[in-house]
Amino acid sequence: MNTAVPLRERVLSAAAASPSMTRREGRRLGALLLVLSAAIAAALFVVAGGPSGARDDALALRLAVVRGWAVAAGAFAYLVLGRGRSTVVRQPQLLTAATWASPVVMLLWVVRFDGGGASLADSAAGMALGVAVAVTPLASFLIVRRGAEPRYPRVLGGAAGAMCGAWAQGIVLLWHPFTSVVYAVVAHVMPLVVLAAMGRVAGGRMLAAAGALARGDDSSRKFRRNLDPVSTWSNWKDIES
Amino acid sequence: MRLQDSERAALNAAMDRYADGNDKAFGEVYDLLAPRLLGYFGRQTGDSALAEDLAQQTLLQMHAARRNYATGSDVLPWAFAIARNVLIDARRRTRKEFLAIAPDDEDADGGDRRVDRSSNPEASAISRQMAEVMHEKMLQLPDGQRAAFDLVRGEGLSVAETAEVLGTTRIAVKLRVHRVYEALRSVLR
Repeated sequence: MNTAVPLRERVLSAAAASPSMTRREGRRLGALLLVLSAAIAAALFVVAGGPSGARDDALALRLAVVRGWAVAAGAFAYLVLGRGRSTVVRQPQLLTAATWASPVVMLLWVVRFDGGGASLADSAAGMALGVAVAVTPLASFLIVRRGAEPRYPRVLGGAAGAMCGAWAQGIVLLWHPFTSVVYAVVAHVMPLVVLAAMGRVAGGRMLAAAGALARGDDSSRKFRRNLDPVSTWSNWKDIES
Repeated sequence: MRLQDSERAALNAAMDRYADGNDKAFGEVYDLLAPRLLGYFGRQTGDSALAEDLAQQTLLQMHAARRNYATGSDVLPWAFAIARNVLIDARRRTRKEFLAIAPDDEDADGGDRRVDRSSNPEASAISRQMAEVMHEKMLQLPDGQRAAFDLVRGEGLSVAETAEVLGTTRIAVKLRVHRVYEALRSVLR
């Protein structure tokens, strides 16, 4: 095909003129940002008072709550990050279900324990800590996967936000293992909801490999109509077979 | 135009090498993938120049996102997922009503044309008329059904791959394709 010759040159020269990150460089950047996120989380934990800031020192209770939640957060991370042998993300329904299940599971898990109640100020501080700790890993995820998701980046962004929030909750649980329903809702559930919403908005802006369909904008749906007119099915016998 | 298994394996291997930093492998990726993308965009837009632009955008998106290419994964579902987005973006940007290739457009690129119309004028006319009717019917179908049918029948993607591209389940893809078949059969009756 003659027209393919100049196109080939155009594509290859354009690719050469704008170098992109290789997989190894991407992994290196991801590891660096992961370490940075962990360091910031540890620093925030210390600034917030660390374990000594807690009003009870029931270490066994803290470890029991954190250990169980870490299993749930790990499973959630596998759902969000694991793609198997595929470059496109998991089914959006699965990601959405996991995103909105995480606050519910969090609430049900925390209120199982008898850790007592907390003041509104403590609850608000717990919420702020949970959001603050999760922001860096969420930003890291968005940077590493920026412009690389052809499908449902908003859904993926929301799931990533909830996932980062879930891991941050480990810090919050270690900090103050209060387990009253009010505290659990304010300090544990609200951050997950906020981070999922933040991730959804940021994901739509940053993760999309290309455009409207990837972002999943409702406004794009009307453009899908009449988009794929399969027009060359002239051989109806072949189709029928 | 469909890729043979060996070509698909070569495409996947080339993309793997390219994602690992072997820049020369992008030429192989281009050679194996570009004809399919040009065919896909050609069918969708009926404009070969626009098809080239969109194929270029798709390949450059893949180049920009190569760090996220999963080791050993299949390139085609990923590439067509990007291609579909590029197409929608273009449509959105220009607000241009893409014209479907008319069934009797002999210059159109990328379609399956297996009916020999030259031998019998009557058969040719019937075939053309039937194609027009089916073309109209296809345009009336929901986008999801058309897209599933196009990817399975036009691009030769498997049901699982089509489900990946469209972000749905295999059962949904089978159902959509089946509904297109049913719709076309109803025209033929």
